[in-house]
Amino acid sequence: MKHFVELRGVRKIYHMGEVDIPAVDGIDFEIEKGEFAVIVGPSGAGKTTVLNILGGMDTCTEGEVWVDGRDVGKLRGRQLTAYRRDDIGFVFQFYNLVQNLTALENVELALQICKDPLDARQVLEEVGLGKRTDNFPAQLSGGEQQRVAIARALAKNPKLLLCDEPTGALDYNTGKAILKLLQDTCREKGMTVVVITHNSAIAPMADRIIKIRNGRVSSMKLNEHPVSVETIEW
Amino acid sequence: MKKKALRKEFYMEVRKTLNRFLSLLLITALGVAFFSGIRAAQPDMELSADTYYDESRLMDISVQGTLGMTEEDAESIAAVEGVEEVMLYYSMDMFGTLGTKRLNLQVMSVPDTMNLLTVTEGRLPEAENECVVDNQMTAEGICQIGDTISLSSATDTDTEDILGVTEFTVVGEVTSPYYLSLERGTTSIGNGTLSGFLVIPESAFSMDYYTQICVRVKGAAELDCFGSAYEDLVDSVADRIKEIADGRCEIRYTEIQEEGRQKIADAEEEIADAETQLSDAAQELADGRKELEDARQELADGKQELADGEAELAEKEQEYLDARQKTSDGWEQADKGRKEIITAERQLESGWAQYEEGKKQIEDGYAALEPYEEQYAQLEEAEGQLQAGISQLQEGMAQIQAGMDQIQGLLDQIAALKELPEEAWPEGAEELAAKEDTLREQLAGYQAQYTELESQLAELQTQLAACQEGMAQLGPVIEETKAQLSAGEKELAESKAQLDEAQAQIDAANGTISKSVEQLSEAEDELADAETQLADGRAELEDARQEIADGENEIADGEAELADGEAEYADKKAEADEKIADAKAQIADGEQELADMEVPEWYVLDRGYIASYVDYGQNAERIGAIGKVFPVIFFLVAALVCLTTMTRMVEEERTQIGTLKALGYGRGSIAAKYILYALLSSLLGSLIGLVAGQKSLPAVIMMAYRILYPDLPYMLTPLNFQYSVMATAAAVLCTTLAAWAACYKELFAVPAELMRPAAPKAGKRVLLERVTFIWKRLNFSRKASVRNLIRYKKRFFMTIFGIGGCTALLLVGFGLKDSVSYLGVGQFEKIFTYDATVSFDADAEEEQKTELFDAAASDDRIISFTKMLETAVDVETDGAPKSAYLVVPEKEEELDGYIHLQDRKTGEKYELDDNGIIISEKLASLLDVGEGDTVVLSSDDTEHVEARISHVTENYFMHYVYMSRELYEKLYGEEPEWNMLFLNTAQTDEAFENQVQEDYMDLDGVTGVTFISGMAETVDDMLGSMNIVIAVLVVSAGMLAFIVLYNLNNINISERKRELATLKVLGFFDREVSAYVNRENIMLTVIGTAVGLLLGVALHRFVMTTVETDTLMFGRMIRWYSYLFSVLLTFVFSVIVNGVQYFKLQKIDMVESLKSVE
Repeated sequence: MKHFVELRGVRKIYHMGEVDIPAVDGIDFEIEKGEFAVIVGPSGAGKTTVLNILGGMDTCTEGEVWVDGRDVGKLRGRQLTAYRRDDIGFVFQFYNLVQNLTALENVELALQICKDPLDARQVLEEVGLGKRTDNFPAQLSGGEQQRVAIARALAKNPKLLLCDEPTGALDYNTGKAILKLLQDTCREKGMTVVVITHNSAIAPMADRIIKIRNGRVSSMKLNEHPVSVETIEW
Repeated sequence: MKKKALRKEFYMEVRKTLNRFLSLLLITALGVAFFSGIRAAQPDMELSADTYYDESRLMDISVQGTLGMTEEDAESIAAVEGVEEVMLYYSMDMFGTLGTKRLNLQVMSVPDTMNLLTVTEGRLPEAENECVVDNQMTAEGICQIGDTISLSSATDTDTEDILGVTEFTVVGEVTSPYYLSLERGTTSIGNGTLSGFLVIPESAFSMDYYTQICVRVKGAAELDCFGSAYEDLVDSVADRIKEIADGRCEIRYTEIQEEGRQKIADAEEEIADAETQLSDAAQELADGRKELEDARQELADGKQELADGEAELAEKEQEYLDARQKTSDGWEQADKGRKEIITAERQLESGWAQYEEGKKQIEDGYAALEPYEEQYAQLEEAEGQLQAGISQLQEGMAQIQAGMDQIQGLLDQIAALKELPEEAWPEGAEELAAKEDTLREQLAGYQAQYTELESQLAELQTQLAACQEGMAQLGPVIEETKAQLSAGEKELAESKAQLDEAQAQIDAANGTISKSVEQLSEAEDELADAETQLADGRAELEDARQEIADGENEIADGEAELADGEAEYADKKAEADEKIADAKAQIADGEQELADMEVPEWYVLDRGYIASYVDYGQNAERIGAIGKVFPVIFFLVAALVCLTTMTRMVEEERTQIGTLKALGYGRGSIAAKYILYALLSSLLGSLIGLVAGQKSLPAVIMMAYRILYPDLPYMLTPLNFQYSVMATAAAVLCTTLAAWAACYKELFAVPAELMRPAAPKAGKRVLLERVTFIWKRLNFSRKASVRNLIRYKKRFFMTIFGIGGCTALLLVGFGLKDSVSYLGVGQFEKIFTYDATVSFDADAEEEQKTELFDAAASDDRIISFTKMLETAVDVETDGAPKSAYLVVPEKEEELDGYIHLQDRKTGEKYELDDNGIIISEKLASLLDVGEGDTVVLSSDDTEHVEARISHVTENYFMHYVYMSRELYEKLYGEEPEWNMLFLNTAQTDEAFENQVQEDYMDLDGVTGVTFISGMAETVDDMLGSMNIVIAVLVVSAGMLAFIVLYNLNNINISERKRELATLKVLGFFDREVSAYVNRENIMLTVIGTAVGLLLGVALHRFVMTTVETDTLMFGRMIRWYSYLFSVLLTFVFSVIVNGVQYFKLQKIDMVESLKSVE
């Protein structure tokens, strides 16, 4: 197993009555440890399916999904949950914070179930929310909420940080700031980050760009010189 | 709805959210079912009973007289206005005997027009000696068809005076409208409990009056017999019957007096007869004894005769044997004789030969002698002549001599005379003397003749001497020869004589022998006869002996008979004497009674005297009371659930509402969908619910009561219009209004606002967070849960209310049971601590009372006893009077050993004093009086006394007024007359109590023995049906809890799907996710339960006062384990719902977390 993350011939077929609809139809790619990978593709290309499979939220119909030397494609039920719990940090488009908990508590929510968590307050400080820890989500802006979400994901100290359209619900600047945060995290902590987006403009900042179209990987390339987020315009 | 698209959308909505639609429908259905079902239970129960009563033509009024009822009474009652028909009837409590079992039976005559029996098995009696029995008796195995039951009187009245026939064969089993319930009631006979009833043909009764008259009232059948219209109608007729009562009673009184006198006269006559009979019997017995004596004498004589006869027989036998011996000796001698005769004959023959020879010799001798004899004969002749001459001479000489002597004599006499003086001469002597000379001359003549003769004589004598000499020579020769010959002759004659004699002897011997042979033959014959005679004699003796033996036997028999007869007579006499004495006493009593007899009274009773009618009615009422409370709660909860559901629905469709608004649809059109949705589901639900509820719940309740009332054949569950409309209207209105209220707010919002996702509810700090020391201690998830609880307020209250309602229902259910059963425990264990009461006739004789007291005092089964007066009084202030028992103890200080007087709440003990009375709690509350108030006690119409209440005491069953002896005397002006003994017994098991009961019931004057355990049981049985009601409540509470929790959980989950999906994505295990949700539910359950308990206690109190009847006070307490059960059951329901939820949570798709906020 040479690669940290490796997908081989992953297929996901939904049975809708008598018709089989393949959401992904043979995906192959790999991501190395510590890479900032971006998976881009238009709506309906199968990005989210790939993310679901990779994030342990769904299982694939066929193929192998290797993460840190383990075929998570074969995991089921409880193992899958344990995989999500210990190995994956997830950042949602709509943050999905628990409204009834403060920023700090939202982070703690994730830490509750973790083997080797980081300090919540510190992580929040790192994402720049050191002063808003006791605010409820409703009292935070979108970017701040997403930062809380990222903090929540990071605090679990995962092997893989999966972000689903992390900027989708944010304005341009805030989006950039979030991307910066993610890139910095990757660079500074050596975290493997996978960002899924339909916005190919952010591709240049990635170490690895995987393009998906119609359920297949249309191209995968390594970016020898990823640029800083600040330099990217869209 | 004109808009086709909208209509289509509506249908689609229903189809898409079928679950919600159905759940709304179901909740409404349940609410309506419960409401209308429980409510309808009372009328349905009443209707069922009423139908049965009407069908079996149960009497409306029963008229009973203290001296019975007659046909004339019936006629006059029938004539009373409003009376439809009357029926004369016998009913009497009697003892029945079946094998070794003794039964207390109510014996009735077969009713023909009213109170109709229903035959469940077999047939009605046809013959006089047939009966049908209570089917409960067969069910309990007391008897069966084919058994023979014999009846006997249980009172002083003779059985013959009640029944003409006493043995009855069971030919069928029946039910009677008199007895709906299992309870057969109490009786004054035996151990006080009726085993059942027994129905026999009217003709089997021999009573001369009927015991009651049943009356049916015109138009009563059409009315509900538990309703007030019925009561009023029957009351009015009963009053009219009461009006004629006095007149009829007077007539009856006169009749009975007449009859009684007649009877006494008859009885006296009978006694006289009996006495005569007795003396006759004694005479007969004496005769018998005499006869026996005679017989015995005869027997003795007979025996003597027999002994004589036997002796005689023995003698005769001896004689016979001797005779036989003699005969045989005779024969032997005869033989010997014959032989001798033969020998003798031979000798005789030789003798005869010798004789013949001797005869010849003699004849020769004689021939030789003859010449000598001729010579001698001449000589002799000469001598004779000489002799004759001599004799003549001598004679002449003698004559001369004699003459000479005579003359000499006379001469001597004369000589003698001459010596004597002349004067001494006897008469004639002179003549004699004169003859002397003549006499001398004659003498000389004689002497001359004499000398001549002497010379002649001497010559003759010389001639003679010569002759004699010749003769003397010849004579001896002849004489010698002759002597020789005559000797020979003599010898010969001798031998001839001897021979003759021998011949004669032989002949004689021969004769003797033949005679003896003859005699012997005769003797033989005689012997034979004798033998026969002996045999006869023996046979006769044997017969005689037999006869004697027979005679002896007969005598023995006779003696035995006599002894028996005597014994019997003695017995009979004793008995008869006793009877006669009794009869006399009875006559005396009868006379006394007649004298004492009061004018009879009529009791005009309505159905209220039928125990099962009353308690069935009360049970129905209790159910009705429950129906007033519970369904309302249930209904409210259902309505709230509907409200929440509709609100959620509207919230979910916020965007769609916005869109429709944006498209320009009016508010009405938009709201119509939701209102219609609610209307449709609730209407359908209501319809289903009211049919299901009214058909099933009353049926379930009635089924439950079937255990108590097995003989009620009907279970009618018609749809009740009133409750149906009420429930449906309420349900539809509630749900529809909820829907309208839910969309009201949304409808007034601007479309744009509606199009945007509703801002998620902001998190808020809760009050608890300020209390840092607690908050800090809570772990993270708890904090979250607490915040969540507060955040969803509607859900919070809904759940609290739902769970609280559930707990409250459960608590009320269990509490109901506690309170109801506490009535028995509280009254008969806590308040009444005595074990039994013996009631006796206060008017009984003093000795009888003393006997009772002594018996109780010496009975070691009785630990202690005290005398009391217990009597019924009416207690009133100024309203309606309440019936209560007035209790006056003989010794106030001992009362506490039997009845505790105390405050229910504080437990403070009360004691009786002279200042006032103590009354029971329920009575006080009914009369609305308290300590210090005054009440009026009236025992009958005339006696009214006022008394001050000094305390109110704890009491649960019936009403009591306790009064001290002194106060009684002061108020009534007389000593209380004790009529009760209160006992504390050593044991309380059933066998013991039955024994005590029987023993004391046997004492005269005792009218009843009642055990507390029996009363407690009766009360328990009466209220036992509550269990079913409680079960219904518990089940429905469970359903309620389940539905509410399930529904709220569903709403909760669907509202928080996104949050839960996120948690899953974050890697929460399913268990952890559900724990996250459950924690909230658990908190809600805990809070809800707590609220429910509070609510339940309040509700319980309300229900108890509603369910109670006038004479009952249920306990107000709920046992700790009822709280526990209610809480536990609520938790169980909650756990089940949460368990179901677990699977629902599992199904939440994590992809939800990726969706945009709606």
